[in-house]
Amino acid sequence: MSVTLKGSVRQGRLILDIDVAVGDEIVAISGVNGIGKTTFLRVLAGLLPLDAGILQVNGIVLDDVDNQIFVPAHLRNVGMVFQDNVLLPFLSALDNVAYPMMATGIGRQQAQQLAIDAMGQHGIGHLAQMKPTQLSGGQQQRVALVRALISKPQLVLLDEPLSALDVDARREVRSWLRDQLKSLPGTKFVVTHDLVDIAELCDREIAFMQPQLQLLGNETQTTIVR
Amino acid sequence: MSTKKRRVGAETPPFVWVGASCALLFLLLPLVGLLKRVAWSGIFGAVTSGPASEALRLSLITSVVATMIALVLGLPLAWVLARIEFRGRSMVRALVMLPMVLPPVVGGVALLGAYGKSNGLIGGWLFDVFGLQLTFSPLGVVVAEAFVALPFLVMAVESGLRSIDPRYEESAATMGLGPSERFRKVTLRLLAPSLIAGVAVAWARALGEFGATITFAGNIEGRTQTTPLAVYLLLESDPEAAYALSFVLLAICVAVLVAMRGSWMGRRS
Repeated sequence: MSVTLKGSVRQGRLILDIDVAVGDEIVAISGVNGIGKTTFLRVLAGLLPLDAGILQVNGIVLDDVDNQIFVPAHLRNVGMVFQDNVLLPFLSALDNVAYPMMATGIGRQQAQQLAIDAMGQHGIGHLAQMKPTQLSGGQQQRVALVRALISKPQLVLLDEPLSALDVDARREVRSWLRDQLKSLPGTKFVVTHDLVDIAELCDREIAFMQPQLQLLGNETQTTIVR
Repeated sequence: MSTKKRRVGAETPPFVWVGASCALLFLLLPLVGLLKRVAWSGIFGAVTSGPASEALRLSLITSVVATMIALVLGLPLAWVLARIEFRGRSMVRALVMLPMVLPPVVGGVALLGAYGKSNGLIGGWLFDVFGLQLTFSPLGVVVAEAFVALPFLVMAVESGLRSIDPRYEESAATMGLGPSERFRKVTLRLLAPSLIAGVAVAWARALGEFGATITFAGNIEGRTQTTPLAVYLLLESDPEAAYALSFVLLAICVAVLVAMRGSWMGRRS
């Protein structure tokens, strides 16, 4: 099992109890607003420590409250797309994409070349020199996706990654995204409300449900066999 | 301007125009008066010779040093106030803002109470151990200026820190940037406008400082007599130099305002 998480976390008025174990697959996370889907991703990313329990990814303990182990976000090698994409506003689209690679020690020029190639492959090469504020929501989302996947993260966390795209772009980006995700090892989580996303993009679905925001392993999860 | 469209029920009553005009006139008239009295032909000579130039030089040096101190001390304090929740935070913030509203003379008296050589809290100790005397020394000028300037910097930077969407830093973390890298490459970068604005107001405040300086550091020509003090004294002996110096201070403040446009104040205009 690639990701095992058993524990709980409290954020504001939300208490999230999680017991989940998934392998190297693409997992859809669904559920009503405010139920804790984003919180779940933040726990996996290392932006929010667990209040109790253990998180393991690929056999490595990333969070263990009892043994006081917590690996912070920047050491976890995750690729994350936030809900509103959150590109760094002072960098061009190209530098945004190149940034995670530079953080891993790749030289600026090489990182930029790789970023240009990746953006070109995805058909957004023409956006390279634009600042995030000059991009539409959909364009920002594409850039954020390329950025999240470019450094081959061991854990992919996408929070409604296609929400800003119109129908045509959505279809196109979805199939590109599926190929990308399939080619990456490790577990990929995609928060989405879209049934087509769930069906076409994901290997299975985990539905977050009331009451008490509990997610109990196999009981509440729906598996879509592809 | 979006005032073109009249909204019924929100028409501007006539007295507003009268009041606003009077207010503007009230603010502008002294500026015009100052500009009119400046002897433009001799202005360069007036500020580059004698006590005027001494005061200007001292003011520039002390205000820059005071601003740097305010920056070094103020940035961490602003961080704590903006980002760390603790009991009594609002009280600490009120305390930090106190020098902004305190009469500067009172600030000077308070500084004497703390750093005065003979009967200050730690003034005697500073002198005995380090041989440091703040009163009646240029260093005292710096301390007085930093004391009044610090709150302005803290206020600007704190509000700047609060307005940064934390997700930028979080997203940088998921991209592999560690805490100090994040601070340098993301936080500081996003904070830059507020930081510049804070430094600008702090510097302007330090440059114009009068009350705390004269009370704490005195008014020794060439040693603790800053430009505002010199202006006050020269008004008697050499009005031309006083007006010339005043104009220089005015010009600097206008430059600071221009530099601050688009950040902190004046964003909505």
